[in-house]
Amino acid sequence: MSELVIETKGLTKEFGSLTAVKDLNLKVKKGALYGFLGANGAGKSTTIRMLLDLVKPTRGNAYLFNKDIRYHRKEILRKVGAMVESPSYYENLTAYENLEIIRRILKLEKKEIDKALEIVNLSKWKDKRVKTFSLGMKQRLGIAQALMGDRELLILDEPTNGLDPAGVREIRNLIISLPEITGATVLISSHILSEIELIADHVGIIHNGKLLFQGTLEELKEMGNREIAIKAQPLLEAEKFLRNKGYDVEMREGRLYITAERINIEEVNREMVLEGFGVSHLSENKKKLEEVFLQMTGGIEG
Amino acid sequence: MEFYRLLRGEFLKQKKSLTWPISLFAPILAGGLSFINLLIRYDYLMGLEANQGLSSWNLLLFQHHFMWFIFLPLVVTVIAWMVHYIEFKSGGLKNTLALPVSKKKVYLAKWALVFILSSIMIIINGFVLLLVGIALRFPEAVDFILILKYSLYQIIGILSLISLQTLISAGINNTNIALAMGFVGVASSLFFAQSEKLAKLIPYAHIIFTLPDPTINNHIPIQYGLSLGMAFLLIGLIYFNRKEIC
Repeated sequence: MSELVIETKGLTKEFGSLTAVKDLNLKVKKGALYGFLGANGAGKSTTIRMLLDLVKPTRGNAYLFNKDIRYHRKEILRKVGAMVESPSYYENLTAYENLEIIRRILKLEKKEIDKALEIVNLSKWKDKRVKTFSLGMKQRLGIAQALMGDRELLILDEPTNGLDPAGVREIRNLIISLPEITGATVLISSHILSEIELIADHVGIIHNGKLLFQGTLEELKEMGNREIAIKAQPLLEAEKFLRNKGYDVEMREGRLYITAERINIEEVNREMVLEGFGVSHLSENKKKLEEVFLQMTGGIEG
Repeated sequence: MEFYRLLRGEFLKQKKSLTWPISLFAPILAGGLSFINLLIRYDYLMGLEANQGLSSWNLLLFQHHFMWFIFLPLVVTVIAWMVHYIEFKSGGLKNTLALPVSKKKVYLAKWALVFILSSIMIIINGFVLLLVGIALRFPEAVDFILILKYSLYQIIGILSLISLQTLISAGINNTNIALAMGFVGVASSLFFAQSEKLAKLIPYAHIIFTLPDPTINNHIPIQYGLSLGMAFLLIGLIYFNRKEIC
């Protein structure tokens, strides 16, 4: 079993009567590019804040590098680079000076600044004041701040937020290259599925504070293949039969649709035919990842 | 060492900001106004019955203090606001606290920055007063002790205000509210100073009592500036250490 860089156990955060994160069991393996996906307000940022000990959990624990963040905060944070919610920068300072603040705090060598600027392709603009930067450049500076020092884990909260398509592509390519360049595990949160699909190899889907799915992107995609459309006669009896067999059945536009984690299409066919139903159509619907996500989070029906 | 590194970071954050110019020019401006005041009205003021027996240096401090007791807390309030506003504006606090640093030391570094800038301002004010007296060719010898006492009382007396404003600025997410509260507090300081109890308990009034004069209770800035300064600092440290950065 791969080593876990992040593991949360029953992580819960309540703000008064609002439960922002509920019983979250997140597992991020070493070397993964983990996409933490969820709509705005789903609980991503609160989770990230708990991982960084900016917010205390109401219940549960967050382990980074197998140590509880509450009791080993400094030791853990030495290995973690983070950009929380939006990049922070002091507009009155240059890109170099912004990184110099981090360098001083972390007691790093000056070459670390140049290294980070090089990775995010900001070396040319290092002496320009940040207030003259475009949003994409500011985002890259935020990533550079997270890269300062030998970080083993990078947590990037919505790094493509507010960028134009060109900026999104630029940041996306940068993030994809990070594990290879830095050797770090990367957790990136986003509310944009297509972004996560292009960047991540592992995905966690959070909705209303609950983790609905966690696994590889392939596993998530496979979930979208598990809908079988059936046209059979008599339809109502067929629906009843399939329900009795324990399938999750829906009737739409004169067809029955079965969704489940594991369906053997041949077995469904055999059972129906043996029961005497006239099966005239049996197909596996390939859902798009977007549909899987929306269905999972209750964004669409069916 | 971590505190020192954080403090250096805080100083760097203020580079090219208005914090330094304000800290340096506020006492020069106030001193310049006092110079003009005494240049024009020295003979008149020395002739007033109320000022009989005062030395020229005492007169200068009296005249200067009427403006400075409002000016100093006001500028310190602005500096405290600016130190926190830069984080509010940049969203930098959450990223600083995501670094392997002690929350208490982050708070302490901010407090220390405001204290250092305030002290620099007070010391410059003392120097400017010396220069004003020399430029006006006072007949008496330079009263170093008087100016030293005046500066020292202020450095101690301002502690309570710094700690309170730092606490408010760190406690309220919108630092502009802290600034507004500070302005109201400073504007009301003269009213607080008229009450024996409030003069001691309200930090905004402490600077009023820093003028070295037998008729003024200099124990207020020394005792209450120091004790309330430490108390508010301690409360701030505990509060900030527990604060959730949402």
